Amino acid sequence: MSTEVLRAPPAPDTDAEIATHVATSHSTGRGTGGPASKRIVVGYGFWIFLLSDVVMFSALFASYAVLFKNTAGGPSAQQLFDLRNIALETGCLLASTFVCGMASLAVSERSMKWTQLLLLLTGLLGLTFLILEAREFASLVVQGAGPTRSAFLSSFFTLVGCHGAHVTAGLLWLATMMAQFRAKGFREDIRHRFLCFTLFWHALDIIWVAIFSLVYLVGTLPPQMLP
Amino acid sequence: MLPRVTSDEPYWDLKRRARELGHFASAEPHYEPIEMPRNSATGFVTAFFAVIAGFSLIWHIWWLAILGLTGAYLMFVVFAWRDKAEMMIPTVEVARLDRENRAARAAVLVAEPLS
Amino acid sequence: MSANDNHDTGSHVAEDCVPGSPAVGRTVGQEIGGYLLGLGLAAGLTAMSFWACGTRSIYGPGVAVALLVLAVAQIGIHLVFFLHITTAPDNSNNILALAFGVLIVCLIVFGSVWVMDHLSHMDDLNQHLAMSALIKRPT
Repeated sequence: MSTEVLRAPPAPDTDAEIATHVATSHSTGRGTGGPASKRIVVGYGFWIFLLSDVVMFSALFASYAVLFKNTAGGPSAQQLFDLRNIALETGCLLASTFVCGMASLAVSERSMKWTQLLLLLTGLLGLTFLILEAREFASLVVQGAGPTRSAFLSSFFTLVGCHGAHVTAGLLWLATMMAQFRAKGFREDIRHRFLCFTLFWHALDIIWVAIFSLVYLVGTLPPQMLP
Repeated sequence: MLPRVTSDEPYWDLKRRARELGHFASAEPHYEPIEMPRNSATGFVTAFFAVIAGFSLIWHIWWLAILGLTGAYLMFVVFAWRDKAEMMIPTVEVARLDRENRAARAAVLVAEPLS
Repeated sequence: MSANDNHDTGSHVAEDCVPGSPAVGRTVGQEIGGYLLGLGLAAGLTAMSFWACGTRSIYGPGVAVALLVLAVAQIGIHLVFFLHITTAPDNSNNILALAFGVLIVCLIVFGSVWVMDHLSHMDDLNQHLAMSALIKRPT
């Protein structure tokens, strides 16, 4: 196939032509009529990526489950975890997920004021979560229970730290989305990206539910109660 | 939408019928412009910053690590700011390419007739 | 700018639903109500998890199982109320992808724990064989 097509398309590719041509998808959702609309393709593709991310987290969960008892004579989960802090973190993340849902409603209603406000609130709650988690990690390291102390602690820091890294990346993405809405308005492709962001943010809270239940809460049970 | 199959070897029958008739049974389809993504150097540049970040994280060169990660994030923002993400291959171009294809296949039909 | 509303159609019309987008035909008030209900249920389940951890009214070894069940329930609440993954026919692709993901997760977690737990199996067997060989050897 000749490559000059891709280097210099001769016909006008104005927004009008693209908009009128692509806006109608004839897909029936049952296998005929061509590909689905862009919004569906983008959303579904990102959903599949999110599931692969969940699979990665499950590998980290599996290594944590295997190494849970290998404390190398160092502190164990029961001695280290502060449940009050965890409750605060959980509350922050749950609230930020809810506010993110409200923000997606604001976007579908095309209200710039509410979108920016709610996204800012989502970001602040996420930032609070990160600060709480960073303080927890710092206090663990200061106590001599850093990731190099034992296999249990290595796997703990990897798992929870990976989730924290995802939240950090999500906050950077959120800041970019806020700037993009401000600069470009509610354009279609920006809305598609925001759909992906909401999927990502909700998925992070889902992973946190698994973490706080199976890592923190199960960890603080006395040893005879563990299966 | 189910395909209509009338024999055991539909693909072979298709080809055989075309050679018997001397031309294709199918008419030219309705041509539409094809939407394609624009080329972009984002992947290459981001990978460059990722290599820098990875190298400096291994050797604990913190300033370089921050530089690499910031560069990767900036590339993400620059890429996100583009206004035209796609370009259209216009109908005339699509028609021209497809007709070339059909002409090539028709030439094979003519060159190798059924004896 | 394209003026088409971004709410995709529900199960009675052609197109599929994308995760994260609610079905069309619901008012903003209904949407907010849905999210609030999800928030309330999730918060309730979280509180129950924290309570189950500290209480003595649940049989000891069952607490971990209770926490697992509560976590799964809360994940379900998130999926239904925040991500709008329902069992409607236009959502079947999303459910299928999710089911596959869950299958892989279960295989990885359960498989790893099972394999690592049974690593000492051959050690016990070999030791037993070695000891019985020692006993049978003539002096």
